[in-house]
Amino acid sequence: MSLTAFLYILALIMAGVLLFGAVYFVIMLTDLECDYINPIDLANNLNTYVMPEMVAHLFLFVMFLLLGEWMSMLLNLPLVGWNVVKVVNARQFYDATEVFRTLPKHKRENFVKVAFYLICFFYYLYSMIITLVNESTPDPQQVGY
Amino acid sequence: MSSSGNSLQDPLNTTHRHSSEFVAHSKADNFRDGFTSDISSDDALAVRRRALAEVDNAKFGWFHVKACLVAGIGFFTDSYDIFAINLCSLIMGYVYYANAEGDAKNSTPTKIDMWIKGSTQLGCIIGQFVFGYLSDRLGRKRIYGVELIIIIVCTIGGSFAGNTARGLSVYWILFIWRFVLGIGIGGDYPVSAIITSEFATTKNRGAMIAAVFAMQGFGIVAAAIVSIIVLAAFKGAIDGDQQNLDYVWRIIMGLGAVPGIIALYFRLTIPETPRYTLDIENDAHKAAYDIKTTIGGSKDAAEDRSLLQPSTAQQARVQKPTWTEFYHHFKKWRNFKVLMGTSVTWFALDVAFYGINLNSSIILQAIGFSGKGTPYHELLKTSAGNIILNLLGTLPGYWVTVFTIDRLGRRTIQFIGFVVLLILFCILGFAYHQILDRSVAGFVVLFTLAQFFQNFGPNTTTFIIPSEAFPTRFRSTCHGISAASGKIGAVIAQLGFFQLKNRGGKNAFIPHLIQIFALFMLVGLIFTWFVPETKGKSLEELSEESERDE
Repeated sequence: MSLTAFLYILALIMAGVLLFGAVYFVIMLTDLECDYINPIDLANNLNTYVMPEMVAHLFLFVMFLLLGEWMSMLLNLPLVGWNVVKVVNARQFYDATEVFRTLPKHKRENFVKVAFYLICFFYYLYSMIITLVNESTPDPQQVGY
Repeated sequence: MSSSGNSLQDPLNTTHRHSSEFVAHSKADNFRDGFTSDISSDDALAVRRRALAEVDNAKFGWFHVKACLVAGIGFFTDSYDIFAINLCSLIMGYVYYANAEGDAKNSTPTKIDMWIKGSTQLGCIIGQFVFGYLSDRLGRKRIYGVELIIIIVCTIGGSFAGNTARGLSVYWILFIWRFVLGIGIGGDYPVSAIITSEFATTKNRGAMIAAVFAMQGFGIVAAAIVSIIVLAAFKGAIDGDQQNLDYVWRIIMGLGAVPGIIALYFRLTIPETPRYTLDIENDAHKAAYDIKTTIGGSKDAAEDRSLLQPSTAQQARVQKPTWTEFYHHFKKWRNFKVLMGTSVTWFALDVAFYGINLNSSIILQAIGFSGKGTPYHELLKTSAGNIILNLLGTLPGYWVTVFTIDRLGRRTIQFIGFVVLLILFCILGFAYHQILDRSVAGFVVLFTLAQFFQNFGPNTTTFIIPSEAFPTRFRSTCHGISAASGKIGAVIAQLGFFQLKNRGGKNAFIPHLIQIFALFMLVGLIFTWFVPETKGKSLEELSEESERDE
């Protein structure tokens, strides 16, 4: 099994985990709206997962780049750019004192991430199957897309 | 005050006796130390109403999502397992029948195949009856982890199945393991549904129960993905020696236990549902405490204090359901017709639901995903094809139901489902060969539409309605009865129709089978008339309606 196939399997699982993470963020933010938790607890809870998510996503991006999977890389480029801008400006963490003010923005950002990771999940699934099927068929019959 | 509250709180009229006990005891207590704050029966009623209002009007939060996930793991495992056995049976053919002759080479014999697949369904029937009854009798919490433990143990056990030295082949051992697995899976149906239903908010109850059921869709996709990954990992070994496929099916089957193991802790530590504590155990304070610690929410301190006062005078008057009571309740046509409606509709649906899957191999061939070639190639393509098929029809159907059921209502969706299925099955049944010959794509589209409307339709609603439409003390038993009648339909479809499939030539009887399914859809449509619409009503309103005359 080639490295590319292995990468797509890993990407599939990670997309699932990241999707679950984004959904968790959305639900935590709506819990804040309904007064189930306070801003400090929310900030502490979510901030532990912000950097791991960015690192995981960056890792996937770099692997796609190195292995020559251009479509997948281009798909992830916007999100990597967004994350880099946030880290450079030190804005990636949730600030307990500001979170009520910026709540709609955060919710929207996380909704978009949920949709994005969902699309990524299906794209990686598709790519993984194509890669695996192509590996086991002789050259003339391989599918190009 | 206590007499007017009777029908709401206490159908069997024990409150009268209660209140006099309260009054006597509280007088004695006050006389004794004057510090204890007892509740009179009026306060008990108010506490009950407040506690239930808190459950019913809670905002949708992480607690509800967690409840859906934990309850849904059973259904995830159920459909993972059904898909896994289809694939594993294929793989076992390559391992154990590699030396058979001619056509039978590399494939499990039909009879054995049929029994392996049907074993879980048979166990399910028993599990649904038994666990449905037990959860009403002993309480939801007491038995909730048990069926998941059975599922985990039997999944792992099945993946270690082997031949005995004399007599029983690996298929027999697997049959026994899967039969007991079925008992566990069957037990999951009523208990998970009732727990979700009793913890849910009135507004979102349909969506929550539907979301629990929708985990089935994920189970199929997960099973297909896992099988692709495991096959890919073993590719080299398989191409070298076909017997290495033995590892593959065992790993695929065993991995099904993993989500269950994760969810087990959460299941064992769930509090008892507030409605069971209130209605059957008559312990209002324990219920209020459980609600506070799980659903929570910020309320002012005064309410908190009164809700959380320990009950000093109240004896927990346990009001367990008995079969005599069951008989008297359902002797009335008004109550019996609901049970009959839910059971017959579920039965009618499952016959078609499990029967239509007999066609999936034809569909796969039609869309070019049943590869002939090396075992690896064929199995890979079968899994990939199944993913596509399920993502097209089944999965969207589940989720459309989740998002619309609280707006459209259960009966509406069930009617729509049965009508559309009736039409689709009539078309497919009477024009089977014409469609197949003329346009394969059309056939696939009709098939996918049928799967979509099964799930945006009776498959989900027949699961949701029994978990709402009965009074608390019978809710789980009746859900178990309805579910079991459904599974009886599934067994008939798998064991019975499977045999009929090849009458008159390979796959020649299938058009007639589909016509029979259309007939069952008509039956389901008619019996949908008997089930009540439960959208937007709290569980108390629904139980009260069935007690009205008493």
